[in-house]
Amino acid sequence: MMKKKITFAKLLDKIAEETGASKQLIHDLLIETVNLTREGLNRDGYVNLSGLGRFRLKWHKARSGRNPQTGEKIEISGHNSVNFKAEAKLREYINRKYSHLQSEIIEGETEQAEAEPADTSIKPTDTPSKPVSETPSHFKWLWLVIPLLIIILAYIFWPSPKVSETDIKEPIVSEEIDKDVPVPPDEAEQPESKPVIKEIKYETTGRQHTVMHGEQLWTISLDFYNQGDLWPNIYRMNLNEINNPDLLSIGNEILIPPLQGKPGNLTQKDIEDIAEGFIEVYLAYKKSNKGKALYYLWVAKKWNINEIIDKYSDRIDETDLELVVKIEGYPNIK
Amino acid sequence: MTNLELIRNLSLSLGKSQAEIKQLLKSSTKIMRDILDKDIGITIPGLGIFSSYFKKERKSFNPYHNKFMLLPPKRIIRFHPGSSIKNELK
Repeated sequence: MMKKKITFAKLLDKIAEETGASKQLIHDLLIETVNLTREGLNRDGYVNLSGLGRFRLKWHKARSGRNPQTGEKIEISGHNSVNFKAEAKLREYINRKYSHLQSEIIEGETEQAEAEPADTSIKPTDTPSKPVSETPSHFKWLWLVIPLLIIILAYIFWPSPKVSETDIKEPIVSEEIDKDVPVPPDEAEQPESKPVIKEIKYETTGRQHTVMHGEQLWTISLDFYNQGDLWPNIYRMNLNEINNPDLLSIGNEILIPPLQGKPGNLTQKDIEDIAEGFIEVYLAYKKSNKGKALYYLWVAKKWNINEIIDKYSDRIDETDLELVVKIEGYPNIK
Repeated sequence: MTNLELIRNLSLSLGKSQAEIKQLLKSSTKIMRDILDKDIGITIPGLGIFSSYFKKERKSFNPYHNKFMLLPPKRIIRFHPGSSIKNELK
């Protein structure tokens, strides 16, 4: 099937309409951009176009091939090809419907992978599809769908959460059908569920999170609380999982505690929890003799929560405490 | 060629300020993004065709975990270079 395409003239019309500039100017701009792109590819071998992506020249070595029709041997000379990679922002925008989905491990598939390593390397396309019947993939999605539905229903029927549990069974069927179809889900459904997901971040009783590549406690805190400074609160809940607060390992299952208030408007209970987190961080840094440990004790002390300080009094170094009290100023985390 | 260089050269050849060119490029790429988002391709003479396609969810072997993983569906933007640019860069 031929895909729909927009012509250059129509594109010019649209841009001119949107920006208010003359059509001639937009035409010159785009044509000149194309010329410069070709020039840049010739000269440097790459062109970065902000908002769209990166063009790059790729060199293919000379090789000998066969004419598939006659079986004759031919020499294919070395040549360049143009490679394009869309910008991360563009990829994210195009995929915003699926942004809540993550890749997940299919349990029980390991043994097959270990038993037949040779097969997987030869036919990578065949083996994954054969041993697995169609049903397991269904159930994998169900695990994703059921908690989501419960959360959404709990959100809708907030004053009477018991009602939602009885109502769960019906919507599952409709969701399941949607997931069967490979085409992207309806646009009408998506906008409904997305804002809900954003809001419940603060309401539920803690969320499970699996650490991914390149993540730190600061970035996780930024994702969930919209504020990076609050990361000691996450560290406090995961003392068993995390040995060094500066170092997370990929695949760590960590629990993100909820906040009663919202960042910028924290309740007293939140502050107590976070202060406890700061003291835990202080203890961890103190153990590894890091100078920045004092900063975390200072923050915890400045909030004047004596109960927390008393609770940890036997583990906090007294000379540190005296030193910290002398420092003036006020932490600007609240 | 970096984006800054491109803007500098464009402003020289078109006789407009760099800020103006930057603004125009930004809004044009935004419009192109919205068109690609609607699953419509864009033809640009002298360069090629941009289009997007849908990739179903699939199982794939992850050598790090030594396990099969279920990868979510996604959409991919593809660029198909035109014949003139292909011949020029050969």
